[in-house]
Amino acid sequence: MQVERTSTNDLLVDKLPDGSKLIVDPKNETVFALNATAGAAWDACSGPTTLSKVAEDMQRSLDPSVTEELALQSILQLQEKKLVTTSGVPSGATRRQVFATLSAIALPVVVSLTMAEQRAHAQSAGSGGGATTSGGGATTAAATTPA
Amino acid sequence: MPDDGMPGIEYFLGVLDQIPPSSDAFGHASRILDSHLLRPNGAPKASPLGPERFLTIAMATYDEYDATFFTVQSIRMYNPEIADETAILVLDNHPSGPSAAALKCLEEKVKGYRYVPYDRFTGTTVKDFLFREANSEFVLVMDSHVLFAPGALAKLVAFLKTQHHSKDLFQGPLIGDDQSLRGTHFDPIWSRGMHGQWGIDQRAADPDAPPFEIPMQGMGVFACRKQAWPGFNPRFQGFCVEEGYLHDKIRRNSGKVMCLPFLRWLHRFRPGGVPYPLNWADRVRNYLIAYDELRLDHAPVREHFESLLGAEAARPLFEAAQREIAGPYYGFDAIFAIDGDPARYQEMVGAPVRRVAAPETPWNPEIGRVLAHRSILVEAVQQDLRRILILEGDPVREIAYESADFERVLAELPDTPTKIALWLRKGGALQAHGFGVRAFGCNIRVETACLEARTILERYVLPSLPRMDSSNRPDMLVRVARVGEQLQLSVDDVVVASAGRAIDLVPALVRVVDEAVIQRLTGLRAVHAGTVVLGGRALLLPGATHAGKSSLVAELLRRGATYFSDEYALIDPQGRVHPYPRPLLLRNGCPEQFPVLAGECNAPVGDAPAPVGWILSLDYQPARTWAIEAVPQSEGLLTLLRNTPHVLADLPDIVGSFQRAVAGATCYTGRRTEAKDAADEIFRLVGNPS
Repeated sequence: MQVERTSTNDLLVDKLPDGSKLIVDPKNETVFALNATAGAAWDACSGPTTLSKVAEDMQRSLDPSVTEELALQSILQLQEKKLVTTSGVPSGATRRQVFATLSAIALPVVVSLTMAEQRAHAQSAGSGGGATTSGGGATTAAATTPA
Repeated sequence: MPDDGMPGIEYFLGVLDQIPPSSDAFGHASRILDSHLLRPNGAPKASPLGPERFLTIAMATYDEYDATFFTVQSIRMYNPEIADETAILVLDNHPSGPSAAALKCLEEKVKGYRYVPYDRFTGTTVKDFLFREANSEFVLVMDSHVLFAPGALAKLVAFLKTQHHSKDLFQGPLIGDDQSLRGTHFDPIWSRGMHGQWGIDQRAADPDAPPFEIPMQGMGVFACRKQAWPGFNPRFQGFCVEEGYLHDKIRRNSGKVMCLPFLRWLHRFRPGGVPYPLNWADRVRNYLIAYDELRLDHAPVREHFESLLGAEAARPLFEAAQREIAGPYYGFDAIFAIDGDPARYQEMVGAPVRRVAAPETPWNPEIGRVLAHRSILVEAVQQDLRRILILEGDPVREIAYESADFERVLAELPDTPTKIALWLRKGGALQAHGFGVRAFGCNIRVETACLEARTILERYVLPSLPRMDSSNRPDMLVRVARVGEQLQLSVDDVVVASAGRAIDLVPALVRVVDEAVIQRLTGLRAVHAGTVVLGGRALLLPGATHAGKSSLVAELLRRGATYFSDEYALIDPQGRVHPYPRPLLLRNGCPEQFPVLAGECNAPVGDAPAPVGWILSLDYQPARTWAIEAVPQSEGLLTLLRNTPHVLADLPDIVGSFQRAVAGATCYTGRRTEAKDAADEIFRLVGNPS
C-alpha cells in the first residue's frame, strides 16, 4: 500500500509535550488534533512511503509493539481527514476494525475543526443569559448582551 | 439687548462666548442677560453678610412680625452699649408668608440687622442655620418673642469675652410675666411629649451670683461659641427635641451647660397654648433619631408616648420612625426634592424631604435646575452635611452627592444664569456619583445617583479591581437611573435592562461588562471556562452557558480553590491564565441568576497569572454517573478553540497562546453529575494540591 501526504506545503505542524500534534491547514481552513499514535503515523509519511515502512517508523518513534494493523488504522484516520492519500489499500480495511491485540498503545485519533465551525462556536460563546431575561425579574431591553 | 425669544438670547450667548469672562464687558453683558434668563420670584432675598461682630443675636421666626419687631427693637433700644459689637440675625422660616416683606424691611432700619429667608423645611431646628449664618465668635440664639432683663446682654457680652476657648452652652433663668424666677433648668422628667420639666435652683435667685452648671434647659435662649456648636441632626424636622439632646452633645464634646444668673429672660407663652396642632409623629421621629445618634436606649421614649397617647396610637408612629431609620435612605443626612409634590417624594423615600423650588428660567429650565443643585450644595457645605440626595423630575431621578464631591462640583458649576447657559452650550451637565474601573485595557465608567444601585455597583462591578480616577476617558459608560418605580441599566445611553431592585440588574450588568472587556482584549485571549486555581495551577472547565460552570466553580471554591472566574479564562501569550474575577452568577435551581462573591464562598481571589494544570471539558448529565477520559493536549487545544469567543480566522495568534496553555496541562473530556459529586471526583483526579 502506497501512502503520501496530500499537501506538503502550507501546513503548520506543532508537536505538543504529550506527543500529540496540532496541524493547521490555512488553505483548507482546518485545524487538526492528532494523538501521539496518529502523530507518529503522520511523521512516518514525511515522504511517499508504504504501509510497512510507516509501521517500521512508528515502531521506532512510538513503540516497538506497533503493528502493521495499527499503522493501517492510523493511515485510514489521516486519509479520512484528507491529510494523506493512499493507493492499494487492503480490501476490507476500515476504521471500524478492533485491535484486540493492542495493549499500551492508544488507538489513533484525529479530530478536526474547521474555521467555519470555529467561527460558529465563537459567535455562540458569550457570557450567557441571553437577551430576553436576566435575574430576579429584570428585563433586558436590547440585544446588546451576548447570548 | 436680547429679547426673551430664543434667537436673541442664543445670539447674545454666542457673542459672550467670545469674550473673556474676566472682562468688564462680559460682566456687564452677563448681568443684563441674567435678568432675562431668570424670572424674579418676588420672594425677599437674604441681606448681604455684614461685617464680623463679636456676638450675633439670632432668632428664627414664622409669620410672627409683631413679636419679632418688639424683640429686635427692645435689643437695640435697651442695649445701645452693645450695638457696635453685635449683629441681629432673623431667619424667616416662612418667607412667602405675610410677615416676610416687613421683616425684610427691618434691614434698612435696625443697626446690624440681617434677614435670611429659609423655607426648605420648617421646624425648631432651623436654629442650626443661625450658627451657620452668623459672622461672629459667639452666637446667642433666642426665640423671637423674648425680652431680656436690663443690662443682661451687656453682661453677657462681657462674660463671653472671657470665654474665648469655651466649649460650653450658656443659658439663663426664665422669669415669669410677674417678673419672678420661674425656672433655671430642666429636670430630666418626661412630661406631655417632652423630656424635661422646669425646675428652680435658688443659686440663680441673685442675678449677680456666679454661673453654675445645670443638666439641661428649654431652648428659648442659649449661647455658644460658633466653633463649639455641635449642630443638630440634619434629619430633624418639625417641632423638635433639642432639650436634653443638645445638652448631651455639648457634654460629649467636653463642654458644660451653664446657667448665667444675670441672663434673665422673659418668654411670651401664648395664652391657651400654641395655635397649631402638636404633631406627635414629628416628636416621636425626632426623639428616635436623636436617641439613635446618641446611641441611647429609646425605651423611655416609647414608654412615655405609649403612656401619653396609648399603645395603639403610639405604635404606628414608632414603626414609621424605625422603618425610616432602618431604611436605605437614612444614610443621607438630608434629602432635597426639587419642585414637584413633596408628599410624593416623601412617600417614595419614607422620610421628610427639604423642598427646593428651582428658580424659573423659562428660556432653558436646565439653568434653573443647575442653580437649584448649586444652592443645595452650598447648603450642604454650610451645614457640614456628609451625604445628600436630590430627587427631581417626573419620573423621579435621584442624584447623590458626598461631602468629597461638594467643593469639586461647586467649583465646576457656574454661579450665574448666563455662565450656566454658556456652560450648558459647551456640553456641561450635572453628573451622578460614579467610579471608574480599568479592566484589561477597558475603561469602564459607572454612574448612578441611586443609593441602592450605588451600593450594588460598588459591590459587583469587578469588585477586586481598584477604582480609578473618573477622569479617564471611558470605553463604556454604565448608568443606573431610577425611572418611576424601576431602575434602568443603560450602557452608553442605551437601556439594556430594567428591574425593580438594583440587585436584579446585576446579571445583565455583569454580562455587558464582560462583553466590553472581552471585545477590547489585546494581548490576552479569552476562553469560555470556569477557572479556579489549585496548588498554583489553573483548572479550566470550558463550557457553554447553562453548562453549570458557575455552580461547579462555587463548589470548588467552598473546598479551598482560589477564584479566577466562573466564565472566562484569560490566556496570555505565554499560555498563563489571568484572573477575571467577576461575581459568580449562580442559579441554584432557579431560572434567575443571582450574584455571589468569591468571599461568600470563603475563597480567595487570584491576583496573579497561573499556568494551566488541567482542562476538563465536562458535559452536565445529572441522571448519569461521572465518566471522563484523558485526551491529548492537541485535542484539549481544540476544546479551547471551540470555547473561545474570538474568531480564529481573525486572530490566528490564539493558536500559539492556547498551545502554550495546554502544553503543561492534562486534558480530559467526559460527563459529570451534580456539583458536589463532581467536586469530589475532581479532587480525586487532581489530588488535593492545596
